[in-house]
Amino acid sequence: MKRTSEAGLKIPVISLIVLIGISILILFVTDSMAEKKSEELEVILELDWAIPLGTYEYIEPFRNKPGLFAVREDKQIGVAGKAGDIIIPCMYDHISTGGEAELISASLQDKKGYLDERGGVALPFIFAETFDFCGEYALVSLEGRYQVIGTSGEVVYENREGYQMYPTEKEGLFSFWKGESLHDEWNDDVKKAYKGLIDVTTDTILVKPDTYQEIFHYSEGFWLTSLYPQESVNMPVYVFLDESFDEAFPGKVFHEARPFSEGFAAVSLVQGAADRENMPDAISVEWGYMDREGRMLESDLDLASGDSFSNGLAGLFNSKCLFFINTSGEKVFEIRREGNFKFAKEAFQEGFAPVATKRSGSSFGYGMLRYSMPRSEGWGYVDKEGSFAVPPIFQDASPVTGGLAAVQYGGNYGVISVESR
Amino acid sequence: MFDKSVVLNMKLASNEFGFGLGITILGFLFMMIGGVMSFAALACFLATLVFFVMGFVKLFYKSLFSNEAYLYMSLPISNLQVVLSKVFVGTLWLSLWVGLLLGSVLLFLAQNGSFLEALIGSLLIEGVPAEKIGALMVVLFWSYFLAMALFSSTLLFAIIFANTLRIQRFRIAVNFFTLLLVFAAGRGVLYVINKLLEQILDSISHMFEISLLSLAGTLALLACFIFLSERLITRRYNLS
Repeated sequence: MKRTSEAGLKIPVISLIVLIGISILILFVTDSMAEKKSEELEVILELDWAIPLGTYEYIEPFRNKPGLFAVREDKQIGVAGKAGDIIIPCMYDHISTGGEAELISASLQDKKGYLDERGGVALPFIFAETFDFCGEYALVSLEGRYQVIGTSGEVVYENREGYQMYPTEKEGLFSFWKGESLHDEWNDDVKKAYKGLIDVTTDTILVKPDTYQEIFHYSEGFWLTSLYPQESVNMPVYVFLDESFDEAFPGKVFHEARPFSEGFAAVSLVQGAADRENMPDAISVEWGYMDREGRMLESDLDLASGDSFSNGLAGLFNSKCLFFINTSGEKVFEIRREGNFKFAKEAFQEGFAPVATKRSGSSFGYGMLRYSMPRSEGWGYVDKEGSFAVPPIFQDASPVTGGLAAVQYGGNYGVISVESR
Repeated sequence: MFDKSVVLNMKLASNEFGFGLGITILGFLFMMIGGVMSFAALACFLATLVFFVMGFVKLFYKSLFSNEAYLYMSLPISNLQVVLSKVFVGTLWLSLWVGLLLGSVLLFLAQNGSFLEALIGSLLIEGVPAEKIGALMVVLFWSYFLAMALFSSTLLFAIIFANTLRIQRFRIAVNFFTLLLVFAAGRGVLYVINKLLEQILDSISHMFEISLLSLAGTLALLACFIFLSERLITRRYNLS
């Protein structure tokens, strides 16, 4: 060291020591990362791949058409089958994956139309806006006016009044309002955005557009609507309507509510409110599950922000774990958190639920200088016993349809077969 | 005495390089804000480039070939130490700047998932053995520093070469074209080395070996430029 000092080589020597220190750090960090990644890859290789990773730029399953996937190649969208074979060529700007009917809504060069499942053009690309078919009917926009068409393209409802319209979850019934645009509800005249309900098959107005803020969701014989009490626009409350459009559970004030599923609806009830016109100043709510008779499910568990029931289970989470309950209100299984995990993205479907157990990223900074730390989700699939059928190693995971699920790993998309271990 | 030479070189162009680094950080902040401020970020990065060119002119040209050379050359250090200290300081400033730029870009890329994890994942998928990944990353880290050192030494050699041709007219043009020629020659040699390595070894399964040999090639070229720079100064000006 004395010689080094005499030669005046302190700075280069210190620099060299720092660089060697950084090198050792890099060696340890990257080695451990490579070991972990290598284990993940071994698991990935063992999975049953229907469409291998990286075959397409992007893959999204059709929600109600098992075995069909919207895929992207050269920035254009098409449809592939469960073996990855192209059924509809990748030449469209967008393809809707949400519809139940045979016809698929697609867009091409700013015009929209419908394709059949073999790739033929069922209804020409002439519309400005299209929605998925619900049964025999679909809402479209043509020349600035909403219309309802049938599967052959025939106009079922002309909409001479020029209403704004939106599809509901019941065949033949559409939500409508008198405003000038879809965004009227953000304008001062909130009443213009109040929704009504029209039966286009008989051209009959079932609900006048003078009460409800929204009326889209229908399931198991109940409409889930929302309205502003005492014409306040600060806080809407939710109201269930029966098939006759009468209030289903009078006396109950719902601060939040989800549509009925498997006989139960996840709701949060406003405590101490005699009716929605006489709300307490300070609102406290209690979450729970309500059955079709309006009885709350008895449970000792904290049921805050619960997911809807599906496959007999509903997912919830607290600060320590993600857990699933059955329709008796009992905890079936729980998954302990490893970090800031994400809730199950979708409920159970075909016996499996996509679940992320690892940290989902955090952010720091304020306003425009807010920065999100790298995400490191680990999405996998749990079965109804709480065992991981697919370990949580993916960046993203879709619900299971037809035994298959689209997953993302290392920025690449693929489709795996999901089965119990 | 080498330390003193390094410190003196650090001080020589610290204003230009310091401003350059400061403006790069400002540009990074503008980039985070985004929108219209992205243009401000671009302007900042261009300004940084100008400051760094000014810094290198001061460090490699003015202290050796202008009036300031008289003071600098009075230091009791060998010509090799002159060259080494200048390459060392140039490498340091350049590494800080490029590191800052690369770091900010990687930080943004990392928002869609850990960049390092994705890189390691893709290397493994390509077939690079897991046990060699750590060593490969260390080699890449050293390659980065040697690339900066090679850039500095090439720049210094080109300036020394152009100013020992004894051409009095069009000096800026001569400097510039010599710079281009020397850089092209250096790049060409490295390209040939890498292509030869790829011909001999499979580029994926021997990625570590290729990187290591490429590192050795860079080191040899760096030593060559330093040696030639020292020889030119000694022979032409007989400074020793």
